[in-house]
Amino acid sequence: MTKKIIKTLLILVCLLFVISLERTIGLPLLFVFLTFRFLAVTKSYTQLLLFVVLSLALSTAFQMSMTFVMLAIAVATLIMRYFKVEQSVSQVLTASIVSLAIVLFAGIEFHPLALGYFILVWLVLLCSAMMPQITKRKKLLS
Amino acid sequence: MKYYVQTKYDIVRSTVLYLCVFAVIGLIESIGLLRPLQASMLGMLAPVSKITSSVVSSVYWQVGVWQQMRLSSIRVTELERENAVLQAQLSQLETVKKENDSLKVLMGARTDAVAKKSTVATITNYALPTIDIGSDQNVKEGQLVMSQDTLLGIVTKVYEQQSEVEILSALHSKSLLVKTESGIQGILHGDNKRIVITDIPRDVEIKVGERVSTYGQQDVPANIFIGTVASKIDRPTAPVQSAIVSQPLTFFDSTVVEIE
Repeated sequence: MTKKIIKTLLILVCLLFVISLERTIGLPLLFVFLTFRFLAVTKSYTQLLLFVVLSLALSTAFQMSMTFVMLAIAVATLIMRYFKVEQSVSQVLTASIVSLAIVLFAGIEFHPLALGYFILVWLVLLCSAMMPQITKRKKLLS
Repeated sequence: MKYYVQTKYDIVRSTVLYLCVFAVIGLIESIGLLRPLQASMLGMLAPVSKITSSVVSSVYWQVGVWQQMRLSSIRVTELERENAVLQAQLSQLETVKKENDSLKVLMGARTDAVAKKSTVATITNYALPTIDIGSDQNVKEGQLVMSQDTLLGIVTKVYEQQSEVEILSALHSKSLLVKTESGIQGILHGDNKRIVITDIPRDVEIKVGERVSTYGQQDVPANIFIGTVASKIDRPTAPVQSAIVSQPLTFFDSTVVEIE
């Protein structure tokens, strides 16, 4: 129980830094991706609470309508569920589309570093998504 | 990743629950009850924002150094040449200043320098340009945001502990009257990417490289440096001319600014 609480607190602190960094450069890509991951692995009531809290954090940081943020995340989550998107690569793609929509609707100015950050996050997420498939293939070959 | 398997009843129940939450949040937001909560959350985010903005600015500076390394030798030669010209001009100006001072003494005028009323602020957000002082430090809407005597933007929204800034490349809320060093006047605004001077009469020739400064209007003193003319926008059918201004120092290059 204590371990779980510590783990949750660490995740929240980590998320605070992520959103603060993304607020500074104007691209909430990693935060949106992590939101999708959390929503996918939590049960209904916890999921709803998490959904509201993460949407509130995102709307506060980017100073935009919370209802819009909630709607964007909910629609993306529903689409992912409908098409049974379980691959991380597709989730990264959806997170990119949602975060770009947020940036466009919030009228945010990109910091010159935002493009570099976008590429970096994409590479890291793609590598982490491909890693289980590569190890699986290696195991099958051996 | 494994999703939790849901029955039809679960799906209907969760959809109804989500719709209720949407309605409640929408209602709360529309009557403005979310604003105090969001304002207090922004206050909590401020210390972390300071750290991340300093990290971002140092990374940006480092990237800029790497990018400019290739061009640095050419740039240094150019700067040395410009420095020599400026040194010569400075010596002339010093002579003029001495003459001016002695004339003031002769005329009995007060030579006490009036202290500038400026407040120093740290940038906490580059994407939605924000500084870390607000109404608690008497910041008001319309005040000028400057760094190293260069105008960078205008304060547009003031909260208790922070204020939003409209940088010149995104200036829409106010029209700034500006002039070049040869006396050509125009109106400065931003098109979200560039700083543009419009309404320059057709019969005058604006030169690339000319310094641009404020003309002086209500709440904006005259002769505040903005930048130099980078290029002219050539539209033969337009009744007036336009030009693009480049700034040697932008909001993104600064970590600390002055509010005047």
